[in-house]
Amino acid sequence: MGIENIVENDGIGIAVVGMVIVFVTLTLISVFIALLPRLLQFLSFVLPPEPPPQRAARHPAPQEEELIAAIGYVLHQRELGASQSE
Amino acid sequence: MEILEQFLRTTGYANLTFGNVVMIVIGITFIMLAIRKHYEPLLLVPIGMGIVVGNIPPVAGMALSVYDEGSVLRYIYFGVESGVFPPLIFLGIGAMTDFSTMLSNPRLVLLGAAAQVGVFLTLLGAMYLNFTPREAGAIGIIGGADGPTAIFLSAKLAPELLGAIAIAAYSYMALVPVIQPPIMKLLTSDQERKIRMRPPREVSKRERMIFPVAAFLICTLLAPGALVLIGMLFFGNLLKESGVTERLAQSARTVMIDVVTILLGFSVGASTQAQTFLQPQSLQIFGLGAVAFGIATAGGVLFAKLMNLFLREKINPLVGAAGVSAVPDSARVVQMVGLEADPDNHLLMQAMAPNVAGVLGSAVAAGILWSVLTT
Repeated sequence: MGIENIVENDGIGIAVVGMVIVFVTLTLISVFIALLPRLLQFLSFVLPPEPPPQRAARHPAPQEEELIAAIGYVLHQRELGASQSE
Repeated sequence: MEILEQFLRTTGYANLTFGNVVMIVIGITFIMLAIRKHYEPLLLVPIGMGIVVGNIPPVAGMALSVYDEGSVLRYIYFGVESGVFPPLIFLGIGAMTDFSTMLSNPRLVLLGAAAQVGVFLTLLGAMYLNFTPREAGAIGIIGGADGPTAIFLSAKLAPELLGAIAIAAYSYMALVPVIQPPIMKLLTSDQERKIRMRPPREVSKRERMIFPVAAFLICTLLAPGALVLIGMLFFGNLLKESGVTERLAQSARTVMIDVVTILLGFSVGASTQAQTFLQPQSLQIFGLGAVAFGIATAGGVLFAKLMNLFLREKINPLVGAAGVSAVPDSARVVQMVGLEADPDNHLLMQAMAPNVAGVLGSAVAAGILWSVLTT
């Protein structure tokens, strides 16, 4: 009964063709991705040079500045306390 | 007095069936799981509440449920049954997806393809259980582990099963951390689980910009049925990677996807009325869904082991399980199982490659099934 339904509706054919198409599609994508760096290198004489990745300027975030100030205050208090006890 | 009697006869209390009560309990359970256990809360809360709303008995002559012409719920449900909402969700997914892990290790894309074996073997299993080909195709896509894709395809092929398929798909996606690890451990040795992989290389901005357009052309020229889902996915990704439409990308991956998720989840839940959902075939769909996830996981892992027979630089076969496109949960599961074997072996970034490839694979599979089973 179940097998007949699969055979009548060409279930195996649909499954096999479907898997093949999925594999072919993703294989093509995989090959394209693998070739992409070489393709870009080949086109480098046409395309403008890519700017180097900009490292973000190290400006402390506002929260960091507050944190640094708080740590500095605590250290200062400890040093004051240490010098007074001496 | 007569008016009062008439009114009492039309109340939900008078018309509540045992099936409605069961469904309301299920809806409340979903809400509790989402809130207490954090199981996919963004999906289970809307779906759970929708189930509760959808199982309040309707009143004859009043347009209240998703199936009544002119009701508010029907207008919202239009986005589901017409297949509008899933592509919009894919737009948002594309705008938040980083394909650079896939671009840095293209051979892992094949693991996303291998995991789609769950879709097609489940299709055969559904046919074996005497579902029609269209119903079997809609059930099979549960194996793609992609909620929007499952809803899209079942709206096109078998709208009468949409509620059960959507609930099954999202339930199993939430259970990925439970379903996958035993299968992964069963199919891999301790030595294989400890294989270390090279960290992903840095991918240039130009590669990330070209990829969505090129991949869209490759996919849809082969499988035109995937046009809508793949098109929106890569459109969203292009918005993100182009660098000049950050505002649109930001809207797509935040406000837009959230609004659509609310409407989709709620209306799908409301469509699961007791008389349509509590049928024997719903149990069959749930059973097939579990099988689909298991086969998809096994397919990815086993294919990775097969690839290792031919590769000098081995792939950790655990990564194959991430071909199941439950992004990023299955990648996190790979990371977790990998760390159990070797606490210094972090596989998350490598696992993201087949994870996002699995999204492509399941969308392509859906497009193929839609084309083949409609024409």
